[in-house]
Amino acid sequence: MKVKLHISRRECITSLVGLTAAPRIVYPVTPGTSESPEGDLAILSAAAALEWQAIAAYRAGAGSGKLSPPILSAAAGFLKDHEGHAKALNATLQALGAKAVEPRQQYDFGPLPSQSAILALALELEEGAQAAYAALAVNISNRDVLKAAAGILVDESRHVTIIRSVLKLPVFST
Amino acid sequence: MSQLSRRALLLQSSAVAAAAAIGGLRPARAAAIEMVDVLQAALALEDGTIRSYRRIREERLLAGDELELCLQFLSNHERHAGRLRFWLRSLGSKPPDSPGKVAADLGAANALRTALRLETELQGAYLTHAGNINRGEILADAVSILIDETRHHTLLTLRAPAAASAQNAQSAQYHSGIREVKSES
Repeated sequence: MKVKLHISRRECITSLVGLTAAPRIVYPVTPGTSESPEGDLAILSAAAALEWQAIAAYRAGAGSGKLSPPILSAAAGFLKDHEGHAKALNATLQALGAKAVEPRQQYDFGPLPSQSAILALALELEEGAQAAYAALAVNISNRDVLKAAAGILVDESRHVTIIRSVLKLPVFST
Repeated sequence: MSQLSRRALLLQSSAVAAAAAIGGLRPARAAAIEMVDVLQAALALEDGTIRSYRRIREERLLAGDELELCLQFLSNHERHAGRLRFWLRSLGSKPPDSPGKVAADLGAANALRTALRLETELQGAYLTHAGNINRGEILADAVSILIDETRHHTLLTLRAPAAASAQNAQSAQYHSGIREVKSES
């Protein structure tokens, strides 16, 4: 999956929300020039929702009993990263006067019958997150938040690289 | 922004933060750094990394899969340098003539470790100074490059976990040293 970085600000928000509903969809993006704090809040809220989705997925995978010990260990590390991201995003939202984003009551990831299926889901979510944070970093108007988003992007890119390596998929075709 | 939210936003590892300082773009000066400065410094880091990977290739300091990996990275960095030069020219700035320096510590026994250090410096530089890039198209390229540097860093960490751990320990020590110097000043 090629990471495309050209999206309008409206598309960025819409795509982030869309990713939480249908993680298999990744939207193309164009650089924005936003100056809107309200727009920043919408982007951050969508990103927090994405993190809760990833947290739920990793908890489901870790609890499935289907992961080998080294994969389970890596998944636990990624889960911890995403929990940190959600916490940081919510702290930022609240500091900016907005409400924290809560996880959904339920997430449906479909059947996860094997380690391969779990890794495939994880890769899809992480690649979606990578694309979302890359677009977010370009579209956010607050420079401090941009740096934080870039930090999260580094985590997501690291996750993608590790999962693709484990699955013996090429890393540089994305 | 409140102090609470600033702490909440500190998501980068101490290794990355220290690497940004090592890369010559010290965090304390970030506010005073213009976009052209950031691009010039990034290009210098890319050029030095390119020369180091070329030395690895020419002198076969690595072999097999590890050499192939470094050749992939070399290709990426050459593309990064091309984009940085393009943007500098578009901003009316002259890219440096100097082709960059080979890493002084590069040798056959530590090629992977040196490569990891170079990639850490690059990742840290882009991560720390993305906020100084205030044109959307240039920022989009910088973010794409940051993703590449992260891929490089991660793949090298997977190959050389001992070197990565040693680097993190050194970086943590450096970061601690910076704090001690600041507390004394």
